[in-house]
Amino acid sequence: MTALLQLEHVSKAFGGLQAVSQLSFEVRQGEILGLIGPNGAGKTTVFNLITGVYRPDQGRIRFLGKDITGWPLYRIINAGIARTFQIPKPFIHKTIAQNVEISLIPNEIFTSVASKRERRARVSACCARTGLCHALGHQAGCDGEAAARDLCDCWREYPHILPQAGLRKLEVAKALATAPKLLLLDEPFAGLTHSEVEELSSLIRALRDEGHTIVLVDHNMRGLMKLVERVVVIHFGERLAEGTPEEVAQNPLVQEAYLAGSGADDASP
Amino acid sequence: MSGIIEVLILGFLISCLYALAALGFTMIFGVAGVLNLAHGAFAMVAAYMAVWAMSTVGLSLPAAAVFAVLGMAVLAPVLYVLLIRPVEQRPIIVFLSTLLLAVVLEQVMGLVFSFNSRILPPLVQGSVTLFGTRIPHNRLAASAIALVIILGLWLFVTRARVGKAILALSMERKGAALVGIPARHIILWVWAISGMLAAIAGLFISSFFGISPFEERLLLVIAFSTVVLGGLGSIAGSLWAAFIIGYSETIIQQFAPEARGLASLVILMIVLTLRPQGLLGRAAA
Amino acid sequence: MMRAPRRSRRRCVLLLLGLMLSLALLIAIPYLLPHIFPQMRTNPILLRKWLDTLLVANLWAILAMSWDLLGGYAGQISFGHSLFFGLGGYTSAIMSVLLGWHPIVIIAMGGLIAAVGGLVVAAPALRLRGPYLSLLTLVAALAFDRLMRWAKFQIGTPGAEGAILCNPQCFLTFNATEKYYYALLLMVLSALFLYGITRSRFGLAFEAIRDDEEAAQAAGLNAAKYKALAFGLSAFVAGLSGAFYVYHIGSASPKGLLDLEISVQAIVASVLGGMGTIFGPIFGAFFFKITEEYLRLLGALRFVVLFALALLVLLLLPGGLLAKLRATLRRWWQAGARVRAGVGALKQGE
Repeated sequence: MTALLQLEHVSKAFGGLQAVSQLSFEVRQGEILGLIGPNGAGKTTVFNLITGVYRPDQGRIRFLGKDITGWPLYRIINAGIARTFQIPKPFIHKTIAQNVEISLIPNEIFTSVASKRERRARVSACCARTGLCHALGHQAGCDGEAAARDLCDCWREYPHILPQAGLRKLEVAKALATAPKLLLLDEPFAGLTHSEVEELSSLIRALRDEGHTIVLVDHNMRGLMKLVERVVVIHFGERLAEGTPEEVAQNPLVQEAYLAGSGADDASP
Repeated sequence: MSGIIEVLILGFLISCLYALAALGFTMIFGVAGVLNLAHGAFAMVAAYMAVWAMSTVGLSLPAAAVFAVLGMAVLAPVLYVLLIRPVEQRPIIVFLSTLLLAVVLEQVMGLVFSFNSRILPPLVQGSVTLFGTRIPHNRLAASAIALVIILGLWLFVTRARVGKAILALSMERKGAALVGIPARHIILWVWAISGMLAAIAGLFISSFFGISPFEERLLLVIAFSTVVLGGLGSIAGSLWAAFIIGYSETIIQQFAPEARGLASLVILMIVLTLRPQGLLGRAAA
Repeated sequence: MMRAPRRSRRRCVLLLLGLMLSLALLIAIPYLLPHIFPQMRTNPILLRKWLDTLLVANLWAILAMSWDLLGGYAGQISFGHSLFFGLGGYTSAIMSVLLGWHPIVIIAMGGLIAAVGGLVVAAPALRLRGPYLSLLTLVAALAFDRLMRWAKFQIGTPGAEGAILCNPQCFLTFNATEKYYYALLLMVLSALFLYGITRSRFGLAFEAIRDDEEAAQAAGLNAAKYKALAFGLSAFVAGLSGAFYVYHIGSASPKGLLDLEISVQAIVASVLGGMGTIFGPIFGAFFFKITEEYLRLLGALRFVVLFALALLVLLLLPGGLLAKLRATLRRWWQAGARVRAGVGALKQGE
């Protein structure tokens, strides 16, 4: 397996707080990697460093062999990394489909005339892929291919009607629309019911089978154990352990970090 | 040589006043989160209040000055309650309503007192010669009073109960609410103090340069430049910045008088471009 | 979470109908005026005055719409739109005197030069947010105003304090009605242009950046580029309006083009009409200019009354006049529907 993304000795401090220190790990092509750690371990900061929201104080980040350290967020996205946010950030004034369409807007001022139709088709494909609009009822005046795929409501309804699970799917659909090679999901399961977790897990697995590489952040190991193939545990911004879920769960250092940290019950697999 | 000494002395004296004008402006931003575009207009209105108290009511100059300062201390919170509090949740409307307030005040003052420039008599007569530079007592008094007020304000904010509450509010609104500081009440105090500071600065500046309704924009620009250069909400930064702006204005005044007002604008644009949070400011959202 | 509006087909038809009716009214108004005000038939000066007022209202509508693209859509609240208006105006004054090209070319040049100005302002503005950005635009406009007052133009007939009198070079026609139609045409073209932009992917990108810049970047949008584009497009349209205005008044001066009040009026018109709607600001601008003309008998007091009125409307109807009007109409419509349903039920009962 080749490395898709490499972090080399990445450090970041906020004032006196060392959020991430000398962190190195790699994400391999085609895997589902879990990035876990107790609350406040620096998981979301790692995502923000990878996607260029923050610039690392030290270290390099390489994607597909290219050094992307210090690139602006949008450029990293366009290079093939997509992310979701821990708290979903839908554009509430735009319809669900337009939310996805925003991810497909090219940055060039001039594009070909056909691009708009292609864009619409891609939006429909992304909505359908994530099963985003399946739960919404039909509306009058909906016909043709869109109706067949149950997508009409995506073009009409606004994100406020979506339940929490729907908002998470919308986040995934928005990320998918940027045509990523690497998908970073920030706590995708937070606040979901068991069956919703199952549904989203099978979507993530299916996406991996279609060739996407996926990194998941969660503070809860239990939920991830069945899904992820490899785990990187971080604690106080440092890499504590790395390995298969089973190896990591047996690691005394990890158990101690979790017991000393917030949730003792989170540690047991 | 005497030119340089003159710039040094006059620059120092005017800088104290600019600091005073900027303090009121930065307090409102720091505590209430409002960029008060009517701050210059407050200063201008205070000067006209003094003019009115002298010419119509027949008060003596010091009494008129006190009347104007107290008048602004009342007027500023009243205008805040009427015009800004109702739209507090909508920053664009707040911004716009302070700007409209400034324009309305300009027009009202212009209608009542004519749009021509008036000059307020010096609050203190006489002059003294220092290193070959003639310095009116009025200017010395202005900067002395400004320094005393700045010091007093510092003591007030660090020692007095209300002052400490103001400081706490400017640091962390939620935290202040948690320890039981009545924000809505304290903010009225801040507007009153800010109005007084604007009034004092306005009275002295109009006794130096005269006052006309549109002159307030220049004052606003100076308060702006000072506050932005120092960092919005930072009091120490404003004091530093007041001296930078004060000196550069004085130098321009001395060597290229027609470009007065352009200097602070140019400084402001450079600062906004290179270091938007100012010299000592906190980054804004 | 805020409840977002839903755009049904019936609403689209109603909107289109309303717009067509308004346009028809604006086209017919030069012929309607003498019928509405009989005194205009005997007093052509009065008619001309009102035509000029409506002409200026058209130009103000263009300015307000251009502000709305930048402020209402891209979320960049400019307090210095008079800068772009003035850039267009000075361009048309200087070019008409020096080059004497056709007015259409010169007005287009006014827009282009203003667009360049917009990009120049955008360069530092991209790093700023919220009040800092508004401050920068305000300061840029004030600085340009000072600069023009300082510059001693030796072009055309030099006027007081940075003024250029370009009469007779910047001249369209003596016919007030004809001139009004040119302004109306420019307004309609600008409205279509701006509406087209807001319906395109650019508009979608602007709104995404306005609502959540980080999320927009995470969707791969180059926010800086789109913001600069919004500045450029907005300044272009504002410049067109300023350039035409100089052809109307025959001079360019800091007082006429660069006054703070012009920026304030553009914002007030947008907010009164409703931000983020493009058509709302047209309504706001006409409301503003016509009220101003009616208040003219108050003399200098009219500005006090006008701005105080604007302030009052802002405090009472922060959503804008048009939104309020629409809500009232809808209430009436629903009340009517209930009455009709009630009558229908009664008839069935009989």
